[in-house]
Amino acid sequence: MNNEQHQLELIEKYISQCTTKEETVEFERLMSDDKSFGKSYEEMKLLVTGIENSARQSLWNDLKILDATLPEIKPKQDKATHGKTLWIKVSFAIAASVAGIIFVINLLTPAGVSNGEIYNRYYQPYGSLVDANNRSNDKSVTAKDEALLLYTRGNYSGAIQKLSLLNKAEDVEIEFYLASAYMGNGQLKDAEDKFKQVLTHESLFTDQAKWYLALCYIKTNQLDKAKLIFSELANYENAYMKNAKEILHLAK
Amino acid sequence: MNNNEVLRRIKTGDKLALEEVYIKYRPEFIGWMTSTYKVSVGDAKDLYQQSVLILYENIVNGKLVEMSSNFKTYLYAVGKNKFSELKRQSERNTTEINDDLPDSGNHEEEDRNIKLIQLSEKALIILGNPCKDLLELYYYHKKSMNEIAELLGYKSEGSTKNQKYKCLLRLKEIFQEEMKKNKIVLYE
Repeated sequence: MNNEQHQLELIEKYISQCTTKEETVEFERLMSDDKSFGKSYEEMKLLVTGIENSARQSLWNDLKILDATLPEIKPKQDKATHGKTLWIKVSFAIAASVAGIIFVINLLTPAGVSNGEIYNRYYQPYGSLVDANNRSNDKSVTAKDEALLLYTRGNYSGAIQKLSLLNKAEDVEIEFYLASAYMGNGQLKDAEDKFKQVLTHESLFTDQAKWYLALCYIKTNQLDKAKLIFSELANYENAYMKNAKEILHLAK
Repeated sequence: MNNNEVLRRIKTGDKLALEEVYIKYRPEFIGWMTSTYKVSVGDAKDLYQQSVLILYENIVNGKLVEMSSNFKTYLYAVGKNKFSELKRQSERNTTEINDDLPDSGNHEEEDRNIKLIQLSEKALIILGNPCKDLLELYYYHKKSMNEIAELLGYKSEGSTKNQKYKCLLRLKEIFQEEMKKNKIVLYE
């Protein structure tokens, strides 16, 4: 065994806290006398952390893949909550019917449609391409995949947490999904800011970002800004052209 | 099969044993987490997966050598701690966002460390297999040289040890190249 190998082994043992008394003395002596040994120690700590993180991530991915094959779990409800939930469901059913009637009446007289109603009718969370059920044999799940999986499942707060960490990489897809997650989570100001960032460069998400930004503006009663974007969308061929035209008609 | 037998199987790297534990306690844990802490099912699943990971790590690290209670009690205890940790972290993040004070030096140091660890993870990906597998088996899964030799098809404990040393040297080289590319110096 050469000296470098011996020193590496000593560092390994020190990091794992299994040095003998003599080895600890040797380690401390080398740390104070040999600058390159100190550098090796700092390097090894980082490398071992990287190796552990990588292996931990693989195991976590395996657990996520396993979980995706298991039955869905509905949150538990106690009796009081269940009764309350049932009452709320019935109330909503009645309210929805009434709202539906009001909405139909308003459709006949477009000027009567509120911004909130427009938002509720036209807002649907943007879909993600990541689907756990189609990835049972693919073990190479990235951090981005995990974040998008949370988004797909409607766990917007979880998605926001993970996407925020990834957002430093200046990936427009991450920016867009982060904006969408904010929107899904009701954080419309944050969503606005993020959609505007997406729109600073032309990308595959440009039309989508315009659409959702305009919906944010509608919901927060910034009607002029909303109409500007809907007018733009209504004037060229894109997936939101028809809806944009309808909203311009309703939002007079 | 009793709890200590399952623990022993997990320790020896029996993946099925860990999966059995995961499947067995999943519905109860998630039900408990959602009703007690009012988290979403998605968050409860994340917390459960983290708890099972910690269980695994404590077993292979030798911190958990015997199951004096049972897996359910252990996972619940870990889950509760994880939830408290996340809640504290989330409150800390909110305070930082609302804080008008200028960024202190601690954040720079933290960011630098995070960047360095990301580079070490990247170096490992560049290194690839079989070295990546070997190093992960040794440093994370705590396998002995003999066990690694058997798993990866090396001739002997001695040749596995040599291979590990070569892999480590190569990983260091790649890591140093990545630091240079990113203009990071380990020692100022």
